[in-house]
Amino acid sequence: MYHAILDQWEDLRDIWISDSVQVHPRRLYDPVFMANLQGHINYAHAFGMTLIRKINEAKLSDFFPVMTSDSAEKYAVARTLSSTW
Amino acid sequence: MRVTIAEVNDQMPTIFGNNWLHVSEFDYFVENSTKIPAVGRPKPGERELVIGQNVMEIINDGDTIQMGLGGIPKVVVAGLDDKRDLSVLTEMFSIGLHKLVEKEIGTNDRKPFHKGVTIAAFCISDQNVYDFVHENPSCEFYSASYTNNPHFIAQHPNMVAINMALMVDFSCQIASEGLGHQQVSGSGGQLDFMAEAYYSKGGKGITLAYAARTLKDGTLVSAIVPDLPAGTPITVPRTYTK
Repeated sequence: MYHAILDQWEDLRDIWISDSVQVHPRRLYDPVFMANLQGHINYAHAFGMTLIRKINEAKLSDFFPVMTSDSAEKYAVARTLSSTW
Repeated sequence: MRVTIAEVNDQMPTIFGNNWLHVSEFDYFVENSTKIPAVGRPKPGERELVIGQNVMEIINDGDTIQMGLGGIPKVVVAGLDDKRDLSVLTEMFSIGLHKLVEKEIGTNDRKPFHKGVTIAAFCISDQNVYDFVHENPSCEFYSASYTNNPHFIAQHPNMVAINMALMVDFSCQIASEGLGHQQVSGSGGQLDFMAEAYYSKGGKGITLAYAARTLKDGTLVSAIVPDLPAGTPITVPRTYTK
């Protein structure tokens, strides 16, 4: 589904995609690809695995400071409020 | 307007616990039959084995254990053969954890809740573990707001939390998310479990770290330092590590 959303990026604005644990290599984790989507699709993470190494190396990480125990409450709500929902 | 879409994968293990959602909660379904990603770990080296051996000496029969990400926790799991009646309350069901149950080491009998059942929030592992948790009532998965709930964790006596760090300073502040202004991860469940192992009767918070690492230019840098580099996020404050 991530791929499907990314394919439609030109038609979308102010979209946030968030995850905690990255398991599939995705264009979402490619900072060069995502740079073109600024203002359309943004990516944020609560936790990081090796798949987001390129984002970290580019110093573009946007970790939300939250413990796992209350990630659903704080992380999801904060991201929701920051979007256009 | 809120739209909820579920991706349905028939290769996903069917698991027990409180993680089922009714079809009425979704607006759309997308069927996508695909293999679940399996992750592996390189064969542990001498450093991992030495650290793991030290950790095994701290774990006692009857303890309830949590293990975070990393190569050393895997070594610890593999070395628990001489322990008895361990219980598992963890965020991640990691590689090798199922062997504790298969060898009847992880009986889950001595913890106060969910007796006989391994409790976790999620599973990223290899195919052996995915096969093990599939339709297995001895493993239950719950929301992280339950497994990592500080009050719930602290009610487990002899709770042993085992997590890795990048660097520790002389005042015992633990940094696991990054060094300086280079962040590489989030807090995850480390503070949840480390803090509540502190409050658990007989609990222990164990932090694993390589004593030193070699930078790309060959410089050897200690992981135990007087002061953390400026900008380093503190994952576990010193108030929970003394």
